[in-house]
Amino acid sequence: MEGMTFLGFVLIVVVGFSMLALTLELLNPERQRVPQVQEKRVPEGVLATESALATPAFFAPRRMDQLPLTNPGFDDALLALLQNHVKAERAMANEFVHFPSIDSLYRQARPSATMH
Amino acid sequence: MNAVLRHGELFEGLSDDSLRRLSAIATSRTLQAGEYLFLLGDDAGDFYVLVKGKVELCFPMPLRGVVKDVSVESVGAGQALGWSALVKPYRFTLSARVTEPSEVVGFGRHDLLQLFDDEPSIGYRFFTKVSEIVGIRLHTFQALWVRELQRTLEAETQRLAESPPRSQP
Repeated sequence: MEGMTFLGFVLIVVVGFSMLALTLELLNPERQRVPQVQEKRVPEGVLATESALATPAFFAPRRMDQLPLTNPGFDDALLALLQNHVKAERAMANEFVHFPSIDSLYRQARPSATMH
Repeated sequence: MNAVLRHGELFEGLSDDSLRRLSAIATSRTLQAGEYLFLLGDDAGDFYVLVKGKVELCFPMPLRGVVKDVSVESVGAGQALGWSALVKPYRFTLSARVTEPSEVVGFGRHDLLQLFDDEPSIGYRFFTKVSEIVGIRLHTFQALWVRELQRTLEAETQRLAESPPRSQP
């Protein structure tokens, strides 16, 4: 009789520990994260390519329009802006060369000719 | 040629004999608008005085794959250009683009230095003037650089002021 009681006690302890271990394993957040991390370890270039390919087509033409890659008018305007900036800055620098002072060194060029 | 050199910024006050000796080693050259007298990086063997016309000193700037000229200085009649021919490593550091039909007088470095060896007084006057030109260029670009630095500092200060403060961990 006592042997049966002891065996039942051992059985209850073993089953209890097994259930506890099983429960803890299932609730372990680290275990759940592993597949996600593995999924993220796809090469970045592949993801970027996929992302670019997945961009809705109607966005692509608009983005191209915003960057006038072959627009000579845009280049000329940019160059004229740069040239005006250089001219205005040269004028300011000339003042410094002929009358060196803190004021002449840091005096602002006219806003219309300044490029930011 | 003497009359041309007499009115140049480099040769003021030189005697007729000195001007004659300079003329003897000078070579004249005409250029059309759009031509380049020299390009940035070229071997600088000759020093020039512009007799007539207009030349722009430019730095080439790549703009989306195409190199464009950005003018930093205009040179007119009587002015000198190409002092890189007298300073090591004897390479031009700007390009000279002709914007009006022009005539220049060129002096080879070796001929000039030989003449100055023979006539140090000419060399003294010449290099005094050249040092003024070089000094003005140095001060100009010093000012441009400092102004650009100051602008960068202002922009960075503004950027830091506008960025949200980081939360402490």
